[in-house]
Parts: sequence; C-alpha cells; structure tokens
Amino acid sequence: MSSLLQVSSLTKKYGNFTALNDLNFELESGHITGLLGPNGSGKTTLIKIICGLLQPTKGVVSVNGNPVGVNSKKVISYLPDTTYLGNSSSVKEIINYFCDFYEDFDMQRAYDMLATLGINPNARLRTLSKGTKEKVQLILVMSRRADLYILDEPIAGVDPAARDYILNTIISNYDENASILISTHLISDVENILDEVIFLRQGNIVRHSAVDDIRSNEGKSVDALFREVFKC
Amino acid sequence: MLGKLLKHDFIATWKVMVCIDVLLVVLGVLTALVIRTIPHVDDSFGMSMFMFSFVGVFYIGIIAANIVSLIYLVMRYYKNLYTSEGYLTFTLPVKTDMIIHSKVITGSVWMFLSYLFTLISILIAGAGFFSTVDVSREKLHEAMMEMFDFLGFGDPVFVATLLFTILITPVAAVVCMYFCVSIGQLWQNHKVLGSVLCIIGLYMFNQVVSQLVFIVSGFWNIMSQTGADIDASFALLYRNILLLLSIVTFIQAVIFYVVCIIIARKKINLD
Repeated sequence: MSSLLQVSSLTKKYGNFTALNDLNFELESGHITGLLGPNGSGKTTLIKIICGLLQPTKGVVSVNGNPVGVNSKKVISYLPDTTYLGNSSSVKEIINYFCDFYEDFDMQRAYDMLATLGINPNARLRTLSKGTKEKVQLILVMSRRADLYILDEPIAGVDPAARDYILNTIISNYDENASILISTHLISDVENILDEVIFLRQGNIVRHSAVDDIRSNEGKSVDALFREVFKC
Repeated sequence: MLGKLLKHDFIATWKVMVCIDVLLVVLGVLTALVIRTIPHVDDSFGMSMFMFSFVGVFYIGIIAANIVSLIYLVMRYYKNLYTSEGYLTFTLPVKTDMIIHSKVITGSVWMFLSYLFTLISILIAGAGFFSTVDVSREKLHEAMMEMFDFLGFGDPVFVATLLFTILITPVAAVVCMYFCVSIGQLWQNHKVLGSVLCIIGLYMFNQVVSQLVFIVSGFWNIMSQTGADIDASFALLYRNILLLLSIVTFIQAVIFYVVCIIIARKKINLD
C-alpha cells in the first residue's frame, strides 16, 4: 500500500502552549483510521493543519507527496465539526458551488442521497434544522470521489439513529482505494468500521496500531483500551 | 479558478447591491419630483419645510446607502473568511491569494457602482432643482465650462489624476476595511473589537495624513506662486492636493492588500 498522508515532526504551539508535539505518522490508502483522544488532545488542530486551515509551527505534512496547498485540497474531502454553509444559499446552489470547484464531485450521488433523506434541493439552508444542515454537509463531503476523507466529529451531537445513517453513508460512499480519517470520542459507535487507530494525548501520539492487533494482542476492544489509556 | 470565485461572489452579492443602487436612483427621482412639484402646488412655509426636509433625507439617504454598501461587503468578507464559513472558503482547491483577489475585485466593482449611482442620483436631483430656477441652458452650460476650466479639465495631467482617483477610491475603501477585518483576526479573543479599533485608528491616521497633504500642498503652492493670478493659484492647490492624496491612497491600498494576503495565508485561526 502506498502512503497517502505523511506527517513529519509536526509541532503546533500557541504561545507557550504546545498543541501538537513532534508528531510523526503515515496513513496508507484504503484504510479507515480513527483519530481518538479526549477533548483538547489536539485532534482538531492536527486536522486543521492537514486541511490547510492552520500553519504549523514546525514540521511538514504532505498528501500524495504534495505539501498542503491547492493539490492537497483537491484530493481531501473535509467535514469540519461545525456548520460551514452560508444560510442564504439553497441546497441546490451549494451543490452547484461544489460542482464548480471540485472536479471529483458527483452531482448525481448528491441528489440521490438528498432524495433518500427527503431533503428538498430547493430549500434554503436557513429553513433547515441544525441536524438537517449537518446531513447536507455530510452529503456534500461524501459525494466527492476524494482520496482522503477527513471527518471531524461526524457523529457528535446527533441521535443514535442519525449516527447509524451517517456511518452507513460514510462506509457506502467511499472508494476502496480512498482513506478516511475520523476524529471522535464516541469510540464504541465507530469501532466496527475502523482499520487502525491513533491515540492522541496532549498533542502526543501515544499509540498508532491496527484495530485487529489491539484486539488480538491486548484482548480488548478499542473502546476498552481507550478508557484504560485515558483514565482520569 | 479566479473566474469561478468571482462568479460565485457576484451571484451571492448582486441582489443586495443592485437593490441599494436602485434605491439611490429612486431617491434621486423622488427628490427631483418634490423639488420640482411642491413650489408650483403650494408655496406655504409648511410645504417649503417639507421640501427642505426631503432634501435633507436625500443627503442622509445617499450617504447611508454608501455606508450600508461598504458594511455589507465587509461583513461578507468577514463571514466568508473568518467565521465558520472560512472552513469551506479556505479548503477550496484555490490559492489563498485568489480568494482575496476575488473579494477585492467584487467589492471594488460594487463600490464603484455605488459611487456611480450616487452621482447619477445627485444629477437627477440637481436636474429637478435647475428646472425650477430661471436660468437658460446656455448660461448653465457656460457656468459649467467655466468651472471645468477653473478645475483644470483642459490639463491632461489633471484629467489623468482625476480618472486615477475615481478608479482607486472604491478599491481603497474596500481594501482598507478588509485590512481592518484582517488585523482583528490577529487578536486571540475579541476579534471584532480588534477590527473596530483598527478602523478608528486608521481613520485618525488618515486624518493626520490628509492634514499633512494639505500643508505640503499649501506650502508648495505658496512657494510656486507668481502672485499674478489668484484663481490659477487656487486651481493649482486643488490639483496638487488631489494628486498627493491619490498617491497616498494608492500606496496605502497596495500595502493593505499585501497585508490582507499575508494574514490569510499565514495567520488564519478559525474558531
């Protein structure tokens, strides 16, 4: 398997506070990786740097061999942990917007998913509930045929039924050569779909293992191991 | 990609901006109608007061329309780049410079149109006024030609300076405000407050610069005065001030533009 994402000596400091401390890891194509850690462990900071939303203090991130920039953004489909869509647009207009900027955007896939969820493409975003907006966002992100999907807390704050839908959407809409990096602390919900996990604590990687290795070597689920490692 | 960014920026802004421009024209037409009609219908004190009040509303209206235009464009810049919408804007596969170019071009075009429609509105209202006074077209034309001569419209350097000023003013207005928004983003907290303080600081700075320009121009005028023609001397002073102010505005706009790009490239920190 080829390396899709390479993170080398990555450090991010805010004044005297170190958010990420000399991180080194690689992600291969075709894997679903859980980026796991308690609140404030640096998950979102790491994701923002990979997506080009933050500048690192030190270190290098490359995607498919390209530094963070236009070429890396072309192949990353990113779902932030916040609603980023302007309220004045309609769902249809946002789809056209994505279609214009992302060559890999599959419009038909987006409309199919909207139809499945019964979301009217002509509806203005301001008329949609927060949960529906999040679903529209997920549809936009998963309608791309990207190499790397980065999903920051995709199931936080939604009911269990919606969680199932979101996870099904993620699993059924990515190509097998693509990779997914999911940040969450709701481990039991995502554990079954993960191939590997990265445990992050106070900006340091404390574990990077395959899920099967954890189960066979430790005799525990990822959720149980997480609770043990991050015990307060 | 700049073309696509421009397309979506114009699509997102045209409704509000065209409404403001239409409103400016409507204000001009209404004012012209009031000025033209009321003295013929009723020349009582009350109606005269109404007419003068309406002219007051017209002036306040055109100033407010321009302020609202600028605030709307600046709010869009702030929301698109530095609120949660920035998560989408900055993850588009385009260079950060292009995003700023697009915002500046869109904002400048709309502000230019706002100024243009303000002028049209004033001309319409002015036409209403001139239709009520007893002055022949020839005399009006003569007076305008005299004024143009006095201002130096026959001088190519002056005309070039004027055109340059007309083009640079909307760009500078937009870039200046974008700069203040960008500076506010450097604050860890209270980013909006940071932007507002920057606007106040910049306003004060520009007042000082303007005073300096007046002093330098006046001094230059005194030094170069022959004493023969006082009108020519005033016209020269006016032209020097325009030239110096346009140069200062241009330099300021370039610096602010570069700072906006640097902050967007290196210092974005979305909450």
